Amino acid sequence: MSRRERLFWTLASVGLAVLIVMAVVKISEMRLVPPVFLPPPQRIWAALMKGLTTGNLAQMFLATIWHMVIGLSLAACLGVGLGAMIGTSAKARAYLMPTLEFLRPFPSSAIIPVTIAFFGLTETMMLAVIAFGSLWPILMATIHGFVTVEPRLKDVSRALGLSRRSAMMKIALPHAMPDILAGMRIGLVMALVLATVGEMLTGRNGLGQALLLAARSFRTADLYAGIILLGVIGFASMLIFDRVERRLLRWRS
Amino acid sequence: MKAQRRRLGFNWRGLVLPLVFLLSVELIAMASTIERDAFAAPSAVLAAAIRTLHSGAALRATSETLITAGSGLLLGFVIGLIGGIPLGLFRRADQLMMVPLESLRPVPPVALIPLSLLIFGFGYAMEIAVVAFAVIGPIFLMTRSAIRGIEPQLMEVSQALGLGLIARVTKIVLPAILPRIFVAFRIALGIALVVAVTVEITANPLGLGYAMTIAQQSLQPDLMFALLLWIGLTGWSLNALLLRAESRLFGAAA
Amino acid sequence: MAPAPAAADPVLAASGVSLDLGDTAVLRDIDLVVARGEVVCIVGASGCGKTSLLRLLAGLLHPTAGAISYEGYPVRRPRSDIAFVFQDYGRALLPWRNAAQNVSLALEAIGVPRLARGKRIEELLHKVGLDGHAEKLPRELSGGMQQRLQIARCLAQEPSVLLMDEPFGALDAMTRQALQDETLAIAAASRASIVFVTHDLDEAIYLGDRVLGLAGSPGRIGETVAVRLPRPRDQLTTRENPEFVRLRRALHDFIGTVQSDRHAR
Repeated sequence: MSRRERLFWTLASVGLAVLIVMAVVKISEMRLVPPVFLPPPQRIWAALMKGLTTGNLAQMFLATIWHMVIGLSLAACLGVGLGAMIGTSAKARAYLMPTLEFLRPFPSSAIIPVTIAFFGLTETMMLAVIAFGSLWPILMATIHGFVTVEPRLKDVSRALGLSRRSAMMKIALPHAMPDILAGMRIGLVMALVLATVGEMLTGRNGLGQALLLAARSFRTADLYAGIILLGVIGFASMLIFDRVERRLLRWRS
Repeated sequence: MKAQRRRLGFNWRGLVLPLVFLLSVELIAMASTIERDAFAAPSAVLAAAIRTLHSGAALRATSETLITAGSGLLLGFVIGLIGGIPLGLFRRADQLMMVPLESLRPVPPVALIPLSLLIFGFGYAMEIAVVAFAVIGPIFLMTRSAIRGIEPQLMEVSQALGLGLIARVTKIVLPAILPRIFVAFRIALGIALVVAVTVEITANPLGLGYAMTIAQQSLQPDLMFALLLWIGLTGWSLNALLLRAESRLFGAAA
Repeated sequence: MAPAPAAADPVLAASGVSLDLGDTAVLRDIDLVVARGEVVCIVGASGCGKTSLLRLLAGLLHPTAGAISYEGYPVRRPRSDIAFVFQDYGRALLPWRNAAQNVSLALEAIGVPRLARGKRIEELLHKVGLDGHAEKLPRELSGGMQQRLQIARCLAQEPSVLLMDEPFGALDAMTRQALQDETLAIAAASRASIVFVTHDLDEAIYLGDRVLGLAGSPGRIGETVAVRLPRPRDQLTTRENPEFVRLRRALHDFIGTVQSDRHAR
């Protein structure tokens, strides 16, 4: 498809989206669907604006982002650090990989009751859950990245007499970067999911809690507004991540 | 270099960590009086597991989770497939749908839990809806890429034979993507289970997730851990089953 | 066969070296001495242990019997005096670093301070004919240029011995010839010794002062030939020299006997 054609269809796509929104407006006007389930888009927009300006939506929005960032950063540090150590040591792998492989299939949300048991319904519990859930994909991807370092580069590092630390930082780490970033991408998705779930359960500040409260009081427009904001977080975080990844992996064709 | 160590048939070292861990937890549980709210000896966990399986409670909860996950999976799978095929075949249609679909993609499925709760209230419907939504996206993407990955010669053959659209889809496209669709199904099953359990822990009073929450709230850590292990086992065995079927049916084609 | 000349000023030596990898005997009773400034070529069929021998000399492998020594001292691990040029240059260069940074890696390993590196890198890139390409990533360079870059990185170690493992095998004939001459020039200028492994007889005779034939399984040095051709070598005249032709025939026969022995077995 030529550039011009692609542009045409993209614009048509935007047009389609607009049409869909207009159709929804019409549907709710004609009360085909009960407005408690699908309020008119104008009301959703109004609720969004109101919530962001005078309401507490902005605060909730930032709170969720904060939880995500903290949990993910923790997971990234631990995941890459441990992953590097385990990935570069055959001995460590022999002892640890079976356990790690055993733990891998467990859904991170199932850990939630356990963390609640240990930490109660606190901020710590939530961050622990987010960190644990995001840690997993990052750790496994990092290990894989370090294990699969090009053997010729290992030869080169030995022939040049690089210290173990130098070899790890200058050769293994950059080589493993694509894998690490792939794991982080999944970790990012998990962080958002678990932050939301954590907020729903603990009732702490965040979009998860805002959504649950709106649902309980049947404030559907606020509910949709919150969902939109969660989508925005998802979208923006992916965008930023793509940017960063492209920059770090510029050397790949 | 040290001479290559002879590979033992089985990696005994892998067992060291779990055994040491289990043993120390058991000893701590026996010796100390740490708060038993969160802490359970492995032996107690095993006992609780046997108890709950024997009483049928675990199995009942498992069936609830599996029914909802399965129904949501089927629903989302069919929708994702039906959506993915035309968009995989026709580049223009795909471009056309891009903006609406990409707007939906970033929304995490868990965000729909409160909405689903509002519409359906507690129960099966609510959970099935969330699972279906969670599964549609990945299935859709995997179907689309499976179709894009069809050997171009096959498509040419269908044109040369003058097959109509329906015939082309049923006789050529579907069989060609069948192995990949199976893989997509297996992956989606994993997602469905995780989402189902998440919904149960968060909001919905049925299934294994809810059972775990109840165990935690009623201060029965042994039961809680037993259920956790059971959830892991269920997910793992279902995945293993499908993997076995995959290699049986498709061998190297998958 | 003219006997090998007594090695004057030995720099690198292998005495009674044998190598077993797992259950396989790879090399047996290898005795070899490399003199300062000498170019020693090792030829042999694939799988006879040429690469393993080179890795032993580099300190990347430990012999099962015998010893490797550099200037009299035992070689137990790689040393900066001994540089290794790998055949698969694409995999031996860091794809995320540009040409200058790749050369820099060797300087970093030796501990050259950051400020001094820039000038050295410039000189080295110039020496291998890569000036102007300092900012390019390996994937933006042709095969020949990548190999030159690897050589530049090895030269950054200021080695006394350059070990080269079929370095030009993956390149086209023209590039190969150009690099052969460049390598000889670089070695002559820096008085470095070269141990050059190849399966190409012509290349071995063209480059070497001595050619060792490695053959059999496990590999042994079967034939040693002194190459008394005038230096500097020239791609046209040297190859037409009757002595060159005689040496090629002799080595060819040696390889031929080895092959037929192998088939007869």
